[in-house]
Amino acid sequence: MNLREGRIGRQEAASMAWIACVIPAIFTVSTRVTYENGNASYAATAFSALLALLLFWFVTAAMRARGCDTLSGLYRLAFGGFGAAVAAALTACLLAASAAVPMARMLLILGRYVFVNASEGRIALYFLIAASVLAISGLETVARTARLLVFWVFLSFLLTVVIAMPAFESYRLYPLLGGSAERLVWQSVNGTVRFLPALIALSICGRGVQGVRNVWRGGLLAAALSVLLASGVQFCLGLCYGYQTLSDMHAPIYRMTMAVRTGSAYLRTDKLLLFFWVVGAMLTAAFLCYSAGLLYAKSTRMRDARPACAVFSVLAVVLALLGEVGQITSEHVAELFFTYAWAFLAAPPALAAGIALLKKERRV
Amino acid sequence: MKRLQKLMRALRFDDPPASYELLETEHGEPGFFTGWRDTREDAGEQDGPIEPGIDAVRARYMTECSGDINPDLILRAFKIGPTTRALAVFINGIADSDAINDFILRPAMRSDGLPDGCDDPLRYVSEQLFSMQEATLTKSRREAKRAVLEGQTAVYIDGCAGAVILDTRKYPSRSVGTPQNEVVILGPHEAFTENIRTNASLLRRIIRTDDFVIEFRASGGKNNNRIAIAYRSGVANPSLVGEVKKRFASVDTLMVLSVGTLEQLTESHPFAPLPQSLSTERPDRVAAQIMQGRVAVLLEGSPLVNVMPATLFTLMSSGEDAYLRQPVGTIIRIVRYIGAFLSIIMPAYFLALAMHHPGMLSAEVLSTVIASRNMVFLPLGVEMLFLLIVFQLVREAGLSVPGAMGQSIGIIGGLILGQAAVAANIVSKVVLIIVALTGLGNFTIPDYSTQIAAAYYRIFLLLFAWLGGLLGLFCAFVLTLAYLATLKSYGVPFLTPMSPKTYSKGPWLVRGRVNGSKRPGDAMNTEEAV
Repeated sequence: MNLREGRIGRQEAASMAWIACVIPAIFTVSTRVTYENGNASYAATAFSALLALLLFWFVTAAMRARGCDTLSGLYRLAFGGFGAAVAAALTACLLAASAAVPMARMLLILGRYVFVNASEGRIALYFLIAASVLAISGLETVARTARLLVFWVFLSFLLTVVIAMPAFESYRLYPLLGGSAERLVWQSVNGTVRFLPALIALSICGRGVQGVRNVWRGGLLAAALSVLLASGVQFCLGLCYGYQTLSDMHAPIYRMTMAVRTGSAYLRTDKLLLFFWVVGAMLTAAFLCYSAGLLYAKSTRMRDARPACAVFSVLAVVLALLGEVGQITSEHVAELFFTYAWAFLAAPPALAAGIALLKKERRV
Repeated sequence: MKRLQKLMRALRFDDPPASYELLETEHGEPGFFTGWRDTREDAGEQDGPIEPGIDAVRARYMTECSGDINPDLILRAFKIGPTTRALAVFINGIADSDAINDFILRPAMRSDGLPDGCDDPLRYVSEQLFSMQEATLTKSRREAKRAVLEGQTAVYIDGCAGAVILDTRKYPSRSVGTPQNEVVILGPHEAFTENIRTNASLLRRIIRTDDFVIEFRASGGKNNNRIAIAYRSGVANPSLVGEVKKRFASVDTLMVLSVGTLEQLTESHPFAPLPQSLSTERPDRVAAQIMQGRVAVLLEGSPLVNVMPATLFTLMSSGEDAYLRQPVGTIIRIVRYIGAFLSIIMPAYFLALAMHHPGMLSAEVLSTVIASRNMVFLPLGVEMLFLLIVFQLVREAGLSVPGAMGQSIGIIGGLILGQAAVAANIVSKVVLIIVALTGLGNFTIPDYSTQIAAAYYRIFLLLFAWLGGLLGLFCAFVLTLAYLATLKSYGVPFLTPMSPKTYSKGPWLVRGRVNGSKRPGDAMNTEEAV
């Protein structure tokens, strides 16, 4: 078997999942949709994390109850061989698409603010190299690299907030919970797409994380810590810019680094901070692509996950590039993804968990 | 057909390569250790019982060891008492002639001979005649010959199908000297020598515990060199000890002359620039690592000892760390890590900023760089690469040339050549300063192999930064970190105790308190509970 699972500890698992939660939560798929309900995105982010955690708890509880150590095992138990393969293919493709989201945002920022004259394809090449090499190297490599870099990624966000503090104005937060409660609810539900991929990916790597108990604890830790940071950053963005301005921005957090003290030494940290986020996006993509490859390999009984990991890495980069090639179409696709992807991501694990639990009850 | 099978194996994903399986076994128990490889057996040598007549023995030695043209081989015939014929076989130069004369030949010739009715003459002479500290009996032809080739003396008695092996080894060797490459101010000033027994005794002098074991084995080379595996039985993880033995048992090569050869033959990642075991010439360092539950391998003829498993932080620790007070030791360690980090990343970072992101430099720095590069005809990337290669050149030249002349080469290379290159507009002053700082930082890395590996990573990062600016640099940096995270030394992740995080008071960025390390760190999974 060459599934590259290895064995990792809870700290490594939590670090990896934390990065994979924070990056999509801050670099959202569509700023227009994220900020359409006023500056309540910080609240929506917190509710989204809560909902994602609820589903994650349900899935892990089912896995524990039925003795499955991975999501692929749960799929097979609930759907049978062919059904599991179909569900796995769907989940894997959506994980690859989720991996593409932060990469697409980074490509956009890099193309517009850093490498103005370079084509997106050339920039994407670096993402492809990093994401595919890491994904092929396996879970241990991704997790240990994440453990090494987690502090620096956290520090980069913290520094951004500190730098932008003089530009904060509390009046920009009003209305506090957005325009409408109904919209807030829907935004929270839609927003689970930012947290679900990392949590689902963690449950796929159950064996590498050494058991469902560690999966749950690692996921809980990652989601709880990431929601603190992501909501905090969204809150600060709300303090820094009005929601209408935010809706028009492609990379609000990057703009926030340049919000104050133009011309001073602080200005020069923006690109450095950006590249730490780029590293976070690379790690997120690697983790999700590896999990997608592993899920696919296990569900189709392949003994080697590396080809699948390579394919999903390429797929993610291609999807990220597609988003950059046709801007108008991509915005539309991004909004569609933000609105509906959560359902397709959540449905197979939730269904599998439900069926597995019901099957158990019948047996009892 | 074989090529077709190789091609099919390469294309078939279902059949993992053997190397991967080896890595997988590192997570669990290694396979059962089935015994040491007998290299001479592979060479086609047949073992058998010793001939009862000494004439036959003499004839065999003359044939097998080319006795007629090999004056080192001494076949000394003598009599025990008035009648019993005997033959002492040894190699002149590596056997102690005084011991042979005084404790073998003289007692034998002056004795009254074997007592009447002596059933086992070999046992009699070994127990009552030869006053040597180590004497063993053997009936194996191969064992006796191998002992002779090692410097021992084999005594054959006419009519007996066996031999007495007497330890008369006395190799020419230098006395214990001071370390040449790991000089410390506060610690002990003694280093290993080329004599394996001296080295073992140096370790035994420091580790005076009943669980300290030194196993002597054949190295696996056709030159029949010996190695010694040293560890604390009952403390070192049995899986680790078994894995080390298994790997060294599988060595089968033409010659083993240094621990470097053995290291390459036994490590999991032979293409990795970084070493996966610590090579040191300091007995105190080896003893400290053995006390922590690691395994050391000594080799006859090598003044270096390998310690495994090694992590990045073991390689970055110095012999002096333990002798400094905690705050001072910690500061020195931090300086060392900063120096190493800067030496690896600084050229690439400067290149990325200057070529791709000049906006990140302040106007003053940028104008200095521009002014410095005025009239320099080489592109910045080529200039940086050229200087880094020149730096390596100067360093290698300085190492190869002996003594004071090597220092002169360094001065000529560093100062005069640098000055001339700036004057000739080949390189700019700023780049020269960057490379000089890089070199200085590189020397803060205590381990020589790690210093060389740092140069590889420096060039790798530089090329990526040249191509893609900070994006390339960060991409290459992540790949480098990922590669380090993938490496394992005898099953222990290379970045332990940082990633994976383990409880440790061992070598890490902040040095632990001396009285806090009563037990080994848990990274080694020792038998002693943490």
